[in-house]
Amino acid sequence: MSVPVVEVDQLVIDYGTRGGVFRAVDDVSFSLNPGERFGLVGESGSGKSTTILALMRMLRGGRVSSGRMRLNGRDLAEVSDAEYRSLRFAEISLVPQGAMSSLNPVLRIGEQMGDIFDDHGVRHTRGQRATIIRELLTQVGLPPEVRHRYPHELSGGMKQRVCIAMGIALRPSLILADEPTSALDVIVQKQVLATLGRVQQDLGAAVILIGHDMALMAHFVTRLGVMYKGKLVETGSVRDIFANPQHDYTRMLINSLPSFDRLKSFRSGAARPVRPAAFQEGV
Amino acid sequence: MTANYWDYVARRFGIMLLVVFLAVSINFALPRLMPGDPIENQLNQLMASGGGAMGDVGAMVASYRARFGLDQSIVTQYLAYWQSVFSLDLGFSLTNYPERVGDAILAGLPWTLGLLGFATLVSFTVGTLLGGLMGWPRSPRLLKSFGSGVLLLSSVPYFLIGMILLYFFAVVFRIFPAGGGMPFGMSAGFNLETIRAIAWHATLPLLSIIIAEIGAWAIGMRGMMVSVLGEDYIALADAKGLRPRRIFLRYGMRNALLPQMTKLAMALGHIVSGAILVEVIFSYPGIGFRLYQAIQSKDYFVVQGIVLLLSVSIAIAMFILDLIYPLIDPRIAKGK
Repeated sequence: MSVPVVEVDQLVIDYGTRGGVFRAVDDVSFSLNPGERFGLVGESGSGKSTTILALMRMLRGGRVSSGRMRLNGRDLAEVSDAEYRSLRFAEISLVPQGAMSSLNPVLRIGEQMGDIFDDHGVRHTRGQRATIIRELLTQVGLPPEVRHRYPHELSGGMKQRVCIAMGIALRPSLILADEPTSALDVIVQKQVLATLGRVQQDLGAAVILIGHDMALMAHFVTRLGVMYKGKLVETGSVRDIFANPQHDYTRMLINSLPSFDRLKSFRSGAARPVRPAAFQEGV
Repeated sequence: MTANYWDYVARRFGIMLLVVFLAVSINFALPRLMPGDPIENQLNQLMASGGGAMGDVGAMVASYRARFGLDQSIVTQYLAYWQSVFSLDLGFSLTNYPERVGDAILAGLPWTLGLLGFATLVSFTVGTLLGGLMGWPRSPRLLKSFGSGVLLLSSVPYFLIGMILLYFFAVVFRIFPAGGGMPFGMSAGFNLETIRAIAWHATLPLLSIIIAEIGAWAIGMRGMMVSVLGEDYIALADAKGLRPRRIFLRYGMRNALLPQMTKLAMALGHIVSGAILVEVIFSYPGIGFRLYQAIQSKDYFVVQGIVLLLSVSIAIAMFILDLIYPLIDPRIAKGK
């Protein structure tokens, strides 16, 4: 058995607020093997994003009160801030939530991607750099000319693909995806997730996908963790969790999914559900 | 993309022409709408100072009217005015009669452009950088508290700072001259001595403008920087593991700079009008001082000429800004 990519052990994160200490993450433990896809679901404020930000050491105002995080066997608490900077994107990368606004509006796509190499000490000739960026863009299903574009010239889905391309630029062993599709429409969501899945497999990186859409999650991850009020209330394979949910909150999440069995109850009601053609074609 | 850009340039050029047209027209109409007659005023003043032996005032007024073309129909006058604008002939000064308005402006312009151009660029550069650093969380605390001191100074009007500087450094300590552009009777030449003399005389006026303006630039920039740093692309730049220096310059400053550039173009357009009060306090021989004198002596043609110059130069400055804006903010040329 190889060393886990990431181990989170009894992690506790507190935010100091005026009304006292707010515990955003309470005794959370999980670990991922290389290449594994793990999903964290839960409502807003359940602590899933905070957990991810703690892994990036990008908490604003919050602090890790206790617990351990290991990345490829290395204790992250012992890494200095300066070292942490060079760790980001090289070993852990982040695909952000707000793809629409996550790109610098005044820099061309190619320049924003190039910055990653420059600040991680990767030297290229002009030609090499152009080739690498073209390849990265092709990998995420974008035309290579996109590197000359500015963010405002791209659609939401294209911007999110650019973010994925940046996330894999330095071939990290762990990709954190913080609701990467929440700003996109349903069809583009699936395409973007499929792209993320494909590049993740090529890379052999582990992925933590955050979201609240159980259905979308179930398509993508193999293992699922359910967070509720800062606690990881349930972890298990997607199959087990859907077949036999242990926690009330998990049951509620699963029951809130629209299902064909329950369409009758919709039909009997005043509102008629709309069934877009796209859904019938599957993923 | 390029076709788009030229389309945009053409549109901006059209807007500039429209602004100039309106400015010239208003400049033509305004003095004619004002109560009182400049010619009669002038002659009355002359008579009051020169005694009564002037002969027939009515005939003189009529001849002056003819001389300045004021006896013709308003349309003819308007067309003639346009013609004179195009031939850069702005008429004569009423107070210093044989002097042409154009010459009066040309005599003052270099002083003003030098004084305000330099002061504006220095205060913009220093103020913007200072403001950017004040909005940057990693800046040393010392710099932030120094910045707050500068902000405090910016709430003091520049002419007051000018007077304080004048009092201490020219009256009490006599380090710098109290006024003028260069020593009296000195003939200008392109040599080190002249440059030193000019710089010497310009020091206090420069300082009073720069001290007062830096804070204004810094306040605007600090606010912009703080709001830019809250953007998602800054968080992602941090997540990408970029060096703080690069995040500050390429992701923070580059974006926070955009509104500052608009303000800079406005400020550069305004430098032609001079910092009137500073020029008056230091009797600096620039356009502002000249405008002040002209207004005091009701020298309409000089006032008109300077105001025209001012409005046209602002229009041109805005046009130049529009030309370079797409280079710093690529979203602009899309015509949204």
